[in-house]
Amino acid sequence: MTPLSKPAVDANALETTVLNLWCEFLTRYFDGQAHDIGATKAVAFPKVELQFQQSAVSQPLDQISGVAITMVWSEGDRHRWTSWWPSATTRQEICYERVAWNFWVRASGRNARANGRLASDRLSGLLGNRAETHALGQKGICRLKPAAPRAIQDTDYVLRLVTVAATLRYPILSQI
Amino acid sequence: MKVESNLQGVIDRLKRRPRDIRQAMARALAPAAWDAQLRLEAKRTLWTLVKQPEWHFVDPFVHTIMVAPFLNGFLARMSNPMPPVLAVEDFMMARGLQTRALSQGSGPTLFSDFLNQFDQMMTDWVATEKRKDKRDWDKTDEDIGHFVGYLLLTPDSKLSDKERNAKAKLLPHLVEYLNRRQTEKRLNAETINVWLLAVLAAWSALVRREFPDRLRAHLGAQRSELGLVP
Repeated sequence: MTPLSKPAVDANALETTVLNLWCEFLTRYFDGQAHDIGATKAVAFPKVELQFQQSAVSQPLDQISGVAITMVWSEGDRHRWTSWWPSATTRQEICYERVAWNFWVRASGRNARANGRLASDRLSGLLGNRAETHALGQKGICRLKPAAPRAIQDTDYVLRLVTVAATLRYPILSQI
Repeated sequence: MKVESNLQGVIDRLKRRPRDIRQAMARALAPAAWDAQLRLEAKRTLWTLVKQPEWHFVDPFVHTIMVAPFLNGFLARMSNPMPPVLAVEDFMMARGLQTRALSQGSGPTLFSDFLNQFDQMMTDWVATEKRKDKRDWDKTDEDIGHFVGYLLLTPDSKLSDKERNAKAKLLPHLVEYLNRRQTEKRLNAETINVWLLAVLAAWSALVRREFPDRLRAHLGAQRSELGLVP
């Protein structure tokens, strides 16, 4: 596991930091190369176009990349709680926030079904692998719980949904 | 040392438990508590899926969302906001029913709106596609459109031979035009289907994820109300 280089989840730039971390993490895998996933060697990943929130996927999709993954922050109560983290010199208030994301996997063009299925399976498998997601945990995106991919449409245009629940962990810098 | 039994208290508590759970379930599934969240989730989902030329369809879809009580929970639905494509026979039936209602002294009927749209489409057809000849020179597009509409929606048995012949010649062009007008600038059925299914999937994931927490919170609140440790 290679640590992520982007800044950790920050209370003052919550959405930006979280999306940057996801972007770095997913770009590392979905590049069309094979990667080790935990103890499994050389798992082939498709090359996909990554988009976040309401950013539009390049069109026509089948002539650009063929597969796209769009990550959208899901609505939810975003249950929050805080605790104090003691250290030798000071006490730090830590915020925990339960969140969820919807990963919409789209595929079009040649082998759309196979490509869409492969991308959603790899995504779900990757996010369920603690050894790999530890890099996200170190930066404050913890306890990932991906659901199995759900097929919404499985024709020439493939749409699949992978939902992921997680807990964000970040310091609240309110100490004097 | 005095030892007392708390067994009756435990039994009473257990008897109340099913009722408490029912109450907490009802509170956790109150439609008002889900309505705003489901609308936002649908909007986010649709914004993710739409292409630029389809942006203006998002709000009409979101406006069709209905969240209402259903049995012990709630029902949420989003439907296709596009009006159905009507055939000439549908317009004929509407005209017949409206004529009958008007003859009985009724005011505007449920059909008035789309019969007005039909008249407008006939006028547009005359203005844009009809090959006009010397018979049309002294008439406005509205007059011709009104007459063509009359021909189209009047049963053959009530038309003269000349009108029937004219109707037979016009009918294929008008049917094609009506269908084209009603289907242009619309989403195709496959896209509508994908959007509805995607929102349903997003809602399903949201409710499955949120409901246990909400139920737990309401049960905790009940325990607090009873003076028990949450």
